[in-house]
Amino acid sequence: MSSEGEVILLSLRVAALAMVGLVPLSLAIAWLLVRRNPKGRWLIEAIVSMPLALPPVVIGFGLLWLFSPTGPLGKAIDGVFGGDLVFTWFAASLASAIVALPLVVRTFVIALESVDARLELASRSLGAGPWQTFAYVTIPIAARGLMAGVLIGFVRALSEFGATIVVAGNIPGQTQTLPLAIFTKIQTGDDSVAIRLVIISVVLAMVSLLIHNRLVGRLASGRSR
Amino acid sequence: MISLDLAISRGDFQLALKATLDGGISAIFGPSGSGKSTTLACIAGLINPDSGSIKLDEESLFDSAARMIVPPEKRSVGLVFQDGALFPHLDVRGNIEFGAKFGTVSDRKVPPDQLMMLLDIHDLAERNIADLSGGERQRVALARSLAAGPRVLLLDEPVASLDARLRTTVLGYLKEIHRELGIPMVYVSHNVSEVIYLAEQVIVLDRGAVVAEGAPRSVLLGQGIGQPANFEDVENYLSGTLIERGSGGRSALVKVGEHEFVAPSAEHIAADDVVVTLRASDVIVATELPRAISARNVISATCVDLTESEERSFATFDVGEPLVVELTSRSITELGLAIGVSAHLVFKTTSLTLTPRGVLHSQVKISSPLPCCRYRR
Repeated sequence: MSSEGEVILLSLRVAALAMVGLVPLSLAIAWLLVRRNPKGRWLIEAIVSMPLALPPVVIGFGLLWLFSPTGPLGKAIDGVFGGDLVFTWFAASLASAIVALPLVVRTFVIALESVDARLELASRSLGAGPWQTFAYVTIPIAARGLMAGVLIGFVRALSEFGATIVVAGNIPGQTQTLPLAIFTKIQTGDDSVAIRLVIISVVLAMVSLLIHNRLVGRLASGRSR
Repeated sequence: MISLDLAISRGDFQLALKATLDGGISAIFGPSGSGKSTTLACIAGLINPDSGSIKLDEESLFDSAARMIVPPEKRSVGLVFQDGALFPHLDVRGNIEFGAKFGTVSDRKVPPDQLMMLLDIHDLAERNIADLSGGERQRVALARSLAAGPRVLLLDEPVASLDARLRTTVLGYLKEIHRELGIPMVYVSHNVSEVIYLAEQVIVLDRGAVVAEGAPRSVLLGQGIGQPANFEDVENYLSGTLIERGSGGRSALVKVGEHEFVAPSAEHIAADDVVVTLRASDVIVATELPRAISARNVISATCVDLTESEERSFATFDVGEPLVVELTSRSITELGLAIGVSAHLVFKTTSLTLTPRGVLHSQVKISSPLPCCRYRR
């Protein structure tokens, strides 16, 4: 396989794993914010939005400190799994997930807010439990908005650079994702490869954003029925 | 039977209510903000009162003293929202099957297909709910609730947003469903005429407290309840059958009880089952048979009830169904009107309005209890 192919596959794998962890977490946070309207809503919203405001390098440094073999979480992981998280593609996924979190939660919040709470009440009084109601009423009605959130999160995870390079390094074939590979090729003067990777990046982003905008557009027109 | 003892306090809103709904069709009546919908939501379990208890047929659904709360999905209580609250991601059949899928396994369940036939919505089965009219929406909501096999059906102003034609259609359906399936109903409304037509018992709420309860006619038309002077016109809804439709501008003939009413042409109504709407103030009472009179309807009937108050007085006559007539207390005195007295009721053709009445599809009439259709939970 060409090195470009390897880079793309690794990038997709890193972003996909990031979303696997991120979607349930974001759904839980968004549901809490929308349906429970908790007392500390402002605090939850501020914490969730932090990755948007911080330089990704700072997030990477924080993760490095947490997960390094001598760090608080790193020791625990070493004790349980007998291994190291930093400088693995898992670390790259974790970094991407944290950076994408605010975007996904915000989009999910909008999606869940578009679901009339009375429909959930109607479902409950028809005999469906809270989880059944969530699965058969809330999720299907919010589906478009949730899909849009997944897509915007995936795009953000694909393009993650700053946090990844700090906590996962830039190891070809292991943690060198698309942005890192472009960076390396520019550094080494390998412009023709860099341009090919840039074009692939642009195409991936364009396609994802087109689908995202279509979903969001439908969501907006669907709400004013 | 539902026993309620509720106390709720939310900011400015206070609800403190003790009442027993006897089964049959009961109504909760009162102005907006009086706590009607909150009471329904408490019975359905969508809101929990601060304290008190709710019992349905001796089974406790909520009891603050025993710290007992049955979640809404375990109550088998059907709630029909004002606008239907239909699921937008499902078609008509999907909505009704949702009720069948999750509802309790019981012999009260009517299969979705049978419900769609009964309520005459089987042609809409694959229809998107955004394409339904208001009346169709309410029938789908009704079918969806019934499909879950509820022990009681709670109706939150189900016809308030409908025009007169659709209103009588849905009211007719409710009456028939109650008769055919024997399911108890709690009907929330602020419309005197609807409650009198539909309910056997009413509790009147005002600012979160019960101010009166009893038989709808005597409570709602009687003295001192909810300022009767402010009530809109009281209308009689009478179930009738068309004998003659009347074409080319001729009058129609409707059978109501043993009487035949002359009504405006009913060419636009397809079915024979109609509701005759007649305002209580449009009827003249005469103790001697009037002769040479332009009004086409002169029927004799016996007075069965009188409710007099300072502001407004009403006499009820038996025409096969109760017919409420509004008149002044002076007229009552001068005519010597009393319960048991016969009189002639006079009203014009044009004071009658005919609208379709929802009747259950006769070919699929069912005998309850039905053989149950079991769905996995």
